[in-house]
Amino acid sequence: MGTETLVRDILPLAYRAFGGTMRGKTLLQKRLYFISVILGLDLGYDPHYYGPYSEEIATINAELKSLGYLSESVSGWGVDQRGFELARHDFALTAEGNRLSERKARQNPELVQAVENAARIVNEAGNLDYMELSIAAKAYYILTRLGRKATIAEISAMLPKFGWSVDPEELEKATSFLTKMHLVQQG
Amino acid sequence: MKLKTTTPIPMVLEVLERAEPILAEFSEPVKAHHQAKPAILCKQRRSELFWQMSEPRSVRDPIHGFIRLSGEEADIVATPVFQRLRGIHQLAFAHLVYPGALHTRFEHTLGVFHVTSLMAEVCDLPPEHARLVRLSALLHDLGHGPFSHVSEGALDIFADREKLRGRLNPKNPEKIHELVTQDVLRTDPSLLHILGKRTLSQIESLLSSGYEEPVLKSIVSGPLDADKQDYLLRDTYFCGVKYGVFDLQQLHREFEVVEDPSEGQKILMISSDGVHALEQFVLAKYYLTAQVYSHRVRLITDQMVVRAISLGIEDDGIEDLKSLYAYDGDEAFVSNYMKWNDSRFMLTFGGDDHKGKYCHDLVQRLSERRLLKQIFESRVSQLPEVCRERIRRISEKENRSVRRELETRIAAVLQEAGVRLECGLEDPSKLVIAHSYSLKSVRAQSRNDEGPIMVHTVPNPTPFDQASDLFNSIQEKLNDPHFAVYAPVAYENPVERRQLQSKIKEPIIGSLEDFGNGN
Repeated sequence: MGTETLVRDILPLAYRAFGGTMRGKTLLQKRLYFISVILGLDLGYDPHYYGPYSEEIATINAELKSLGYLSESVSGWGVDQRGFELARHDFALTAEGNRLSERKARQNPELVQAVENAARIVNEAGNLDYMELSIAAKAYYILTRLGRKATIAEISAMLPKFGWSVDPEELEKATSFLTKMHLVQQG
Repeated sequence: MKLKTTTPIPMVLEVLERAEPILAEFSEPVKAHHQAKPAILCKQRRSELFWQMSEPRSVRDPIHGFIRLSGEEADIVATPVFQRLRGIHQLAFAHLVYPGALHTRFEHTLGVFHVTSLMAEVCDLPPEHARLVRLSALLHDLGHGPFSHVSEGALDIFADREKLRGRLNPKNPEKIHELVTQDVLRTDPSLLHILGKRTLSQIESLLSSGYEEPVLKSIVSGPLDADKQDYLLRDTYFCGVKYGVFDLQQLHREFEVVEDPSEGQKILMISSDGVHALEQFVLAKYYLTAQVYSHRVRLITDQMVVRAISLGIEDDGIEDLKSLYAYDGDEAFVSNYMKWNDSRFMLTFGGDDHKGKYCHDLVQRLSERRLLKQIFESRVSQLPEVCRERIRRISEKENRSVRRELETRIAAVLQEAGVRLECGLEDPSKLVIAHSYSLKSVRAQSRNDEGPIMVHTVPNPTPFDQASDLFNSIQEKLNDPHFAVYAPVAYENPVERRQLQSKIKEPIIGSLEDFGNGN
């Protein structure tokens, strides 16, 4: 199955598993990233300045919206230090989107079970916001790139190499989240 | 002294490579002798063996003014494979809507070459990299078949993917025409003479996966590449519209080459002050896509060409068509492919030899501008919920049999409604075309990747979609899927057209709903 086809099937199921909404594009990307890691699926993630990012997820999410399966609301947060407007794009399944996800769930009972389990693992590991999830994704990405055990200090030292800067306390919270998901172990 | 004036040492190394195909024709003892003493071979036989490099040339172009070519570049332009591009229209049948749009891949390629040269200067590339991107720009479109991107649809359908398995990129398996370009670079004797194997192999890498610094790939293929910059300005000019205009110089002023801290490689970005210049470029691309590339008549003619090829191969059994589109990576395929252009296609398949065939019928319609008519059109989001996903993907090559099934249903709906299909052939329903597209998919026929554009901000770069709300709105428009049905019907005037469309609207929606439900 191609990445795009897989994303088409998984995305409505992921919305369903997370209660039908995603608050922000970053949260959507990072939640799906951890689902892909837990299930060992290729959902098209590549390294990116804002952590792992999947063009396929972004594209299919936009497609679901254009087909009327998702609604979008944008909330402005003002302006950042560079003068760019900060905005959060929230998405929610519409009534038609709910019908689509139910239909997909009936068609793929195994996949829906797997996605729901993965979503439960992500939720139970900690109710992280989009920023915290993003830090966890970066930390996990660095660990997989290193391919060996690393201390938080080592991970912290690696971050600037990727153009990222993260507070050590936030990094600690992120590693605790990864540990709870059984993606990393301390020792 | 003599040695110094003839060939400096690096040139000798390059030259030796060019000697390879010629050496292959020598007898074994001679070959062994020359291979053992290559430097002597170069000194003694240089004038006999090697292409005489032309003088630098300047070519006048309506978009960019004078385009300057080095001797090496002028030699490439003079090759038969490059000259063939004069016979391939840049916008296929867009001239049926915009009569001026008769420009070809030839002048577009020269334009891309020129913009690439400007970008190489702006990005301050070292001379060897600048040479490589300039040459890549000249060679990037050699794999185009008749009617440019329209051919790609047919290549995608009929390519022998089993035979090509080792060569297809799993992330981008559909780009068959790029493999054709690679084959041309590997096998064309005149290019081999001029550039040598090593340079051609570097160009091949640059055009496919990239070569050394990512900035090089960004110039030849990417969201800010020279190809887009030229085609927007050129297509705007020749179509006689004003939509695709943007400030090329300003955009170039805002380019910055930034080192990626994670990989230590150089990436092309736009400065934070350049967001508005980039927005103008993105808007130009959007307007031209919406008004020209996605023009109703252009979509119809593109679909007619692809359908003519499909029916010609599968129903009419035309061998010439099969050998033109059933790409299998064989050298014979490329050698045949390079002999075709737009007019040969029209004359061959619209000729009397093929009279009475579906392919002939469609080609003749294109020739005489008796086009299929759009009898139904809707945003996919306005169709019954149950069929949207299937309809959205109906034009994908994996769904050809499902598409055929839908077209047969629609033909039956038309028949029930008393609409006559104007086609003298056995099964007129084969000329009913159901087509799903978005503006993005129309433009994505271009070979360039549409990766994220980064804005150079401190401390971290910002993706352009986060820096520009305008860009987000445009992306939404580009992704919005549409569905249309084209058929061989006739009406005398707009009133009759509207009557026909309103008569069949509800029956077609009903049949789409049944189709979505699997009934």
